[in-house]
Amino acid sequence: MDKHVTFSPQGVCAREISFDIVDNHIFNVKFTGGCAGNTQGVAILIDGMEARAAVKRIKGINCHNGTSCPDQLAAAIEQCLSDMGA
Amino acid sequence: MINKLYDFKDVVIPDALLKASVSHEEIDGELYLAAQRFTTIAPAFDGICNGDIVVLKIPDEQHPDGVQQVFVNMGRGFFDSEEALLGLCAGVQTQVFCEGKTVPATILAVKRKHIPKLTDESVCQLKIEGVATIADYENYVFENKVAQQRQRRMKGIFEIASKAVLAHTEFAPIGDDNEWYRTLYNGTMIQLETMAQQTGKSVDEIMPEALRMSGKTADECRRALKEMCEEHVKLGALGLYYAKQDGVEYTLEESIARMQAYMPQLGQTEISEVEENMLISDIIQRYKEYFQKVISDYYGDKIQVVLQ
Repeated sequence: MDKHVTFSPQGVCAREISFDIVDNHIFNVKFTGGCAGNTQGVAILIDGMEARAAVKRIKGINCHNGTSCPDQLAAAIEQCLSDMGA
Repeated sequence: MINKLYDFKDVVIPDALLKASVSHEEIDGELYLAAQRFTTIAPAFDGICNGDIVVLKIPDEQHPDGVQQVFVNMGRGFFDSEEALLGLCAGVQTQVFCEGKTVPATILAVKRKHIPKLTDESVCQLKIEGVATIADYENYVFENKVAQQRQRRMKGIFEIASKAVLAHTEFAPIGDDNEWYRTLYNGTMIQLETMAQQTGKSVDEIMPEALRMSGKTADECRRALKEMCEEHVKLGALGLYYAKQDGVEYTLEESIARMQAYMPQLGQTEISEVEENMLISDIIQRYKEYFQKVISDYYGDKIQVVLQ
């Protein structure tokens, strides 16, 4: 199933994360708020990656409060995969 | 600390700061962003266009099946042969340039995003208090934009007003006998001494960089620090003046009591001198913010924001 996801991250500067998931691959990640350069970098590097491979890479990255924008993206992808029963 | 106050209401604020506008385009843009939340993605059977996600099957000797799937996010420029794919449909076989060579490729699928028009029903799903229709949402966006414009302009207004008030108000001399000034200046110097010890350098050596005054000598830094502390104290004093008029008071005793309530959790029994200095600095800052609030309250309604 293909889906557009909007996620409200917790404990980070970004206020919202959105992305498309197509055949379990991640596309068009967009962060609202957060460090512009870093979040754009993460979004571009992750574009087209298999969802679980992306999670494996970015989950657990810490900026502050034990989480980060990429870590929250990983949480969003995991939640989406779980919702989709993948 | 104040001998003769200059009223900030006498400061002439440029018209540009008292007028702002929100455009229909800005509101439409926000509506489009909201609509994007309801984006659906579905297979497309007509020609590939930018924004589509294309699934290609290309030969791959290293893969157990002898083929691999490649996902192309059209228009992003990450795939060499994006242009060659434009206009082709799912099921078509073509040639693409991939990993340094031209290879045959089959277009397995084309996925396209569809952004629906915002409806009252979808607006309700945004779960914003008091927003149930598109008209409500337009109004909500407008109010938010107005608040943003006001906030931005208030920064400029405060800058101009506080500069003028500082320049024209007569303050009593501020020096080492002033507790606020002493706390701010000595507090910064103690921090610099700690940093110097940690880095094995002298205070004079680390001062320009630590105070973000690169290129200045240590003496120039000291002078600038003194001026900064003096200005901070003056702004605090202005806040104190208006706070008193409103019956508002921030005391060290109150700050200490608040901190003492948390001390058992921190395993602390007493407040150090450094911590007490920090509490005093915090009080000065709160009074400075009070002055800012007084100016904001006065000018807030004077900023006219129109929809164009």
